Amino acid sequence: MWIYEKKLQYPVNIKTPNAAFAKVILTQYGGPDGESGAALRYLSQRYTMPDGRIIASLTDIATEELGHMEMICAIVYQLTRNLSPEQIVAQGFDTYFVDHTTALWPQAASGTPFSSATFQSAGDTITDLHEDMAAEQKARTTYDNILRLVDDPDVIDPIRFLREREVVHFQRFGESLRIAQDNLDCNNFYAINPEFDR
Amino acid sequence: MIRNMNQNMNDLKKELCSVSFAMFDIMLFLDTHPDSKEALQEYCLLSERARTVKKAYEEASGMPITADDACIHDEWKWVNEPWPWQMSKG
Repeated sequence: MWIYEKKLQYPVNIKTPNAAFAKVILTQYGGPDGESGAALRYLSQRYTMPDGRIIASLTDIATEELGHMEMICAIVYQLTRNLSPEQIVAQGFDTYFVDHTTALWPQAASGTPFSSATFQSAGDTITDLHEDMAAEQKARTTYDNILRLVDDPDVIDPIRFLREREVVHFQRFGESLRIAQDNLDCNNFYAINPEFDR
Repeated sequence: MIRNMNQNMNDLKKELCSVSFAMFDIMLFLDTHPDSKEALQEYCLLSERARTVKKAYEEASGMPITADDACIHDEWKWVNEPWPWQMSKG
């Protein structure tokens, strides 16, 4: 069960629309290393996890990712306000606009639709936690690349916040992996899979 | 007068956001360190503060943050703008 809080986790107030920025930032909504994939990955993996601390981490980090989806959507929404058709063409947003106008739809910057094929829920504690750590680093890379492409301080500020959260989540998943391994055979972590073998 | 009220509301909103964020960050730490008494104590202090600030903001602004607080008003204000992604007007 989830309850909606009518506020963003971190404020987004963008004064100058820019559809070119919107197009690349949209990738963190529906792209291969975006927030939607992150939330669904952790929410899917948690059911079979062997330890309450790991289940709590996956649940709470996934919940934060839902909040980050909302922040990304707020950024894209504000970047595409009040644009003329001429500006939409000039800023390269026409190929998105023709299908979705200025509504939000989860896709990668390249136009590839959001897909669960971008993540795994393997049912193996060590495999999934390594995937989660990698996912946080991939999202961090994407935010670093966004920061290379945008120069508006109103956009940079919330993007930096989101980038920082990837680093924190990576740390927490690293601790989750240590917790899992502390409960496994230290001579052979792979002797059993605690999500399946009894 | 109206300016002061808006200022007060903005300050409350800002404080609520930062206190909630701090709580969330400590929650993630507690998930992997449930034995940390220090973190738990900090979390509970912030939790008290968040409750107070949330209520003060909701009363000052007439905007419930969660629907369960809609009952402090005599009409269903949950539907009112602004939604979080909308720019504050003015």
